[in-house]
Amino acid sequence: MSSTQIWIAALGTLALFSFLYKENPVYRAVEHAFIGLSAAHVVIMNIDNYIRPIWRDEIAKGSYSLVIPFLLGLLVYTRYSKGISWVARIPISMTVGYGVGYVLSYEPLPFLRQVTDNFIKFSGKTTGATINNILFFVLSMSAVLYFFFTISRDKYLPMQWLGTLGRFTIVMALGASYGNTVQGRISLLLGRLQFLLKDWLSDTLHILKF
Amino acid sequence: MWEKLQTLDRRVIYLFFVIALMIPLFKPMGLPIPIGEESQRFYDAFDKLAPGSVVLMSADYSPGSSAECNPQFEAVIKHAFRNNYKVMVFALWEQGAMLARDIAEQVSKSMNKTHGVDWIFLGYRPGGNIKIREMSNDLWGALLNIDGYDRPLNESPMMANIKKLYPPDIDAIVCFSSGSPGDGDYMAVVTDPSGIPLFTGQVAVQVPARVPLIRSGQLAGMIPGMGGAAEYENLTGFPGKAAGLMDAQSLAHIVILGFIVLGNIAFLAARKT
Amino acid sequence: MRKQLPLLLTGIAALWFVLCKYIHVFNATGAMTTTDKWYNIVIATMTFIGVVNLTRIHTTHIQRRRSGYHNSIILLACLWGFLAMGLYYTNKHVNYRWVYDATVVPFEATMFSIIAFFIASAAYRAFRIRTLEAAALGIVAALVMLGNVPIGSVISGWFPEARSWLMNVPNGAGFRAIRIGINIGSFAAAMRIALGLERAHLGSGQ
Repeated sequence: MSSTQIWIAALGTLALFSFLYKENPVYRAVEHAFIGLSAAHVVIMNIDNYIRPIWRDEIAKGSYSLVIPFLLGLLVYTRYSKGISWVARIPISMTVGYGVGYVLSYEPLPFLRQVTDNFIKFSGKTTGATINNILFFVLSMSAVLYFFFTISRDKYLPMQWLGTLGRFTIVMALGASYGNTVQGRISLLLGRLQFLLKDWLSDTLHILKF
Repeated sequence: MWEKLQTLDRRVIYLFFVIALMIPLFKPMGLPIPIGEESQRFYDAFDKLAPGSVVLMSADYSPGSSAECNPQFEAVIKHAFRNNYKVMVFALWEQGAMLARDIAEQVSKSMNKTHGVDWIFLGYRPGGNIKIREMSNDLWGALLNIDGYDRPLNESPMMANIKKLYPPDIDAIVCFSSGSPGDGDYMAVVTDPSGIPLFTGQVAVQVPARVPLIRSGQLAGMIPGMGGAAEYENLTGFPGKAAGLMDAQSLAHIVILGFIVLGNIAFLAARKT
Repeated sequence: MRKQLPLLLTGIAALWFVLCKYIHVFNATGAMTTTDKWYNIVIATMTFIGVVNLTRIHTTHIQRRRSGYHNSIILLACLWGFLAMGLYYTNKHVNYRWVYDATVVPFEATMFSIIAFFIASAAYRAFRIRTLEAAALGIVAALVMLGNVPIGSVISGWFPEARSWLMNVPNGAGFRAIRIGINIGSFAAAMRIALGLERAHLGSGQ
């Protein structure tokens, strides 16, 4: 990055961090600038990487049928017109239907592999592995049963025990999730701090000729 | 006093937290980084691929996750180049393409790899999971016959025999993911039906949810967050940014645990009084 | 017509997708690849809607001089300025990359990094061990946190092992169950949408 880029990035970073002290106009201004830039970038990437090449390399060379999906996509903008806003539902319903078809076609295989993996043989290479396999099976089944409400827990005591075990299993999973979330978020902050303390500070010292 | 402690101004907490993070950046502690089993598993399985294997590296993350995923991407692409795999760099996320391209260009230059021969940048294409399906049937058509630099694919010798994102044309997929679309979609469309290995670099937040997939064999390996990236840098012997930040991670974790303990002590003491 | 046609289209699109997956002739004739391409084009064309919405909302703010309307001016200036720049130069040009690398990348990274501070203050203020479940959550979280970082292994070699066991067994079992539940739920929701029983995607009103 050039010196000017580093300074723009650093000042923007500090402006956004100023929110931690107190909500302030500088933070709001930079936040709004970021939203505008980000939204523009998404559109530009779609235009440059897909729409422009399609028009240039396919439609302009004779694949005129590809104009139809463009027109279908443009129909979504009729939602801003009071009289024909229902027309916007057409492309949305088709894309939602396609996505739903994906779920029904492609998601069963990974799901079934997860289910069948639960019923692997328990014996492992070591005693510890065997115990872990049994424990995994019991915990995962009890966690699934925790969400099973057809059999009443009040009437059947084993369901109550398994439900409690399942609840604790899920709580432990969420605890592990929290532990990893802490690391993940700290990583992001460290990235910014490293930029401020290494890139920006060294550039500042360089400008001040230290 | 205990009630006051419980309602401590959050800016005081932020200050302690930032100081804890900054100290190791100026004065590293040099703590040894033990290699976790997930990173070791990823390394061993990835290293086993034959030289010349075609590997798709998909950067499905944004700058918000780049602190974790960039070091992972860099470490893995260095490993791939060292083992002479043919690397295709792709992204289902708009921002991921730009981030991955910078890293790939930098690393390929330093390791003398030629674009079009040893690696290729395929860029970003919209469509998510449907794009993956399209690529698995007709890769060139899905990419509109151009690479990420707008050059025709037929100008790249390495793409001559790669017509589909499906075996035997490709040998492995590595997906660096911070959300959807990502590894789950590659798994559903390509790797689960075909059996080729799927590797993933994950943000730490998503690591616990991926553990069942490793257990079932649907994921051949996973690099967990920035810690995993640091471990992978050590495994491959290529120094990177992640390893230098683990000292700060350590101190920050201790500070947060300290806050949790202090908060609970204050809570219990206030309840007693 | 206004509701029935979209519902019908949803069902037809879903049915077409499923048929393409399981009946080879649709794949062999290239019909599936064609519709995939159409889908991607429709999606790419619809991405502009974010820009249109932002422009409408913030133009209204400016016209009515709502509080903070100057931020709306900044937003629209950045939005349309960067858009014009991208359309003129394309995203591969060095000028576009200059602005992108100086603004979008660091600002987005910073917005996400602020969450770390909230984690720290939430850990102090809200993490209270009142029940047995909270204690289990807290202990597991603490062990995983210490196992994740090098200092844990320096304090005791037991922490990384405990972390490994907790991640593989209870966490793996818990998330296996969560994943099964999510998948069953998504199948049920997908069937409801495909059969027209779910109309949320059509929006409210008419």
